[in-house]
Amino acid sequence: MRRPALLCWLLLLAFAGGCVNSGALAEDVGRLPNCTSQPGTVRRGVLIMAQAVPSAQWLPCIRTVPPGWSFDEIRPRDGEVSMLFSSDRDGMHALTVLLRPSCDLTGATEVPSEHPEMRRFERVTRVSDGYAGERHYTFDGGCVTYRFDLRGTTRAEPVAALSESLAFLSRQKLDQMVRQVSGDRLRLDSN
Amino acid sequence: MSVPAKGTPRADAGQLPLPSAASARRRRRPSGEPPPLPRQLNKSGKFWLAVAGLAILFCALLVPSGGLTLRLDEIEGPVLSGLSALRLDPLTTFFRGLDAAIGPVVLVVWWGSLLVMLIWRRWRHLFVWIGTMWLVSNLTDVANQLIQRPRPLTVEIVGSWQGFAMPSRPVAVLTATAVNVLYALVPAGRARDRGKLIAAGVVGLVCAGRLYLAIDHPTDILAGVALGVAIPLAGWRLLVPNDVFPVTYRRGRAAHLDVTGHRGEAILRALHDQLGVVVTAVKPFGLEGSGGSTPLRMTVKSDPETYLFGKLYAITHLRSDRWYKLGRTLLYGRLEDEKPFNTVRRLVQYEDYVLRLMHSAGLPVPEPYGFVEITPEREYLLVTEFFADAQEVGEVDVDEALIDQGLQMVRQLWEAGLAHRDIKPANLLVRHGRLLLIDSAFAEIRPSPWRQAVDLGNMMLVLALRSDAQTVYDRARLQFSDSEIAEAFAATRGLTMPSQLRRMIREHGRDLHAEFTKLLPERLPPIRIQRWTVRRVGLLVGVVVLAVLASQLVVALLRSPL
Repeated sequence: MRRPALLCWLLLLAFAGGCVNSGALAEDVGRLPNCTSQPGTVRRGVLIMAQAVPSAQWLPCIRTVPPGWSFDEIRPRDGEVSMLFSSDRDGMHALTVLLRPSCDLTGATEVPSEHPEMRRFERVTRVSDGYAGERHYTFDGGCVTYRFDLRGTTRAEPVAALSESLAFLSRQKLDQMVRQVSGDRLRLDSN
Repeated sequence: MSVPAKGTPRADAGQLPLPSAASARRRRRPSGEPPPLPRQLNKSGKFWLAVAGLAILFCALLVPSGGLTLRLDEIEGPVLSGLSALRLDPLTTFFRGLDAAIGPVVLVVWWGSLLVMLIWRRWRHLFVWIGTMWLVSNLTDVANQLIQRPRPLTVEIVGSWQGFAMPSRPVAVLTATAVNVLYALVPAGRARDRGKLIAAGVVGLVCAGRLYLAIDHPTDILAGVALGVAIPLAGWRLLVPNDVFPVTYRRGRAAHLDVTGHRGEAILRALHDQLGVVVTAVKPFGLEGSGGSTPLRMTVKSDPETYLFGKLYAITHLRSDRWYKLGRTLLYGRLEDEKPFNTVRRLVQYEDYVLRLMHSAGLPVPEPYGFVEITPEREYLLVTEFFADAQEVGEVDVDEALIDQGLQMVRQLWEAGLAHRDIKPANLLVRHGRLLLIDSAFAEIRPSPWRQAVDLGNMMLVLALRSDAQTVYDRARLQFSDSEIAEAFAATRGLTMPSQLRRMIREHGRDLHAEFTKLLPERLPPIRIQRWTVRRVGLLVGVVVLAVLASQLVVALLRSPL
């Protein structure tokens, strides 16, 4: 009687304890919100982003995680979703990527965008002791913000590396992937 | 039942004879047979643990494969689509409101429950509550991040949500809160059974609402309910079993156990099988004078009826003993540095052994009959002779004969290398002009000389309560030297006196200690009881650090039980 109970507790604890570092495990089990998916699957992180902001026509995703950086977690809720990244040189949660229906662009300056479907805005808030600032991409039904809070000595290098590592996936393409994988039994949205 | 004559030779210490009228055939419990009061999860606890195990296994299967969650969506999608076809505005508003209320309701229930547990000093219940909520909250959080199951696809989500879907965290937390309320606040029995139905109804309604709003999939909810029930239920059944820690709103010492129901039956069976005694009734006895165990008077089947005295020890008493010793170590330091007991069995073994030592040394203590096992390593019953028709020494006139007997007791303790350590009116009984000593729970073998001196001081103070200091002092000089008496009063002061003795001295309005010291031909400086050791300093630092951490935890917990 005591043994099964003990085993159950051990199982629970092992599950809780062994999985605490969920960010580090993310890459191993394919839970990174990557821009590409393996055949027969759809990236769950990207799916939940689409559900969090149903109006957003573009969704942020990861091409590769730059060396020295790690993906921490996704924090989704209806109306907003954030992705957190940490760096071994620039600190914990040095980059937060936010997807919202709209952004507050007060004080931001528009600069040429590398994505033709989007407008890009920059706002720098700190250049001493690292770098802090926001980059916004606005598009139909949504806005993606890269919030930098870098504490390292180099600032241009990580910003550039991260910019290269992040990309966008269209809602339409994601819907196609869902339909394809489910044999048209599922759709991303209700209509 | 007679008081054994002083110095009577004893039989083998392990086989003291019981009253003949009470004897019955002893029975050895065969291997595999449960003890008299088994500690168990019950069927429902095992069922829910199995369900939780399956839920975890199911969740673990979903972790590596995004495709599998989509397959599940294909199966569950029609259910949610069907429900969404039934949507009506008023119903949607109702379920949205219900779902939004989960967070505030959990918080308010937590504050209310915390208050009740603090008022009724249910510390263990409080710790189990916090521990199980923490485990449920973190386990579901980690599982959410690992599985990363999206919200339902294809169907319109019309409610608020946060985080990933599998397992449903709000459902798990709400269910765990309901289980915790039932097991921490509602007395077992009909009230709890009804509470379970109400809780099931509330949780069921919330789950139905979340399905209706298409916030969760059915399997998310099932996994959340399984974890929300199984983890707290296992915690309560294993760590706070109702038989040992009953939820009751009657005033009384928490140390006292309920001896009716399953435990009462188990006690009768244990006495019959292990001691060969046929007991017909077990009743609490003298609860007000006992804080470290549950004292019992047991009626033995005989003609005329005779009684046995029992002290029921459980894991709660072991913890009380640990806290008591920690407190004494912090208060006094080296003089009280005896180690706490590791198990209830050892605690009872020790008391039984000390009682046998006292008995064989000819001290007028109750005859020990050994102890019986109620629940292995958790509950034991110490059985001794019952002193019927005895009165506390504080209730009778104390003459020179009684004074001599009391002082003789201390002399015998000294010669046997023992200290009683709790000499107070409640532990000195008088029957037919004979002074009897009870309660050897705190007794010490090979004590420090200081401890022995304290026994003498306390005995003289107790005897002087119902006589006078001069008479007690004069009689003491017949058995003890002046220096021994002076040492006794140098050692005995303040906290070294049992609280009952201090209270009675105050009530008498006499400074008995000062009366005695005036009579002494020589006064010794008070024996310092404050001894500083590295261990004591370390313990003090540890306690302060823990207190600071606990206060921070309390502040955090007030904000949220999660």
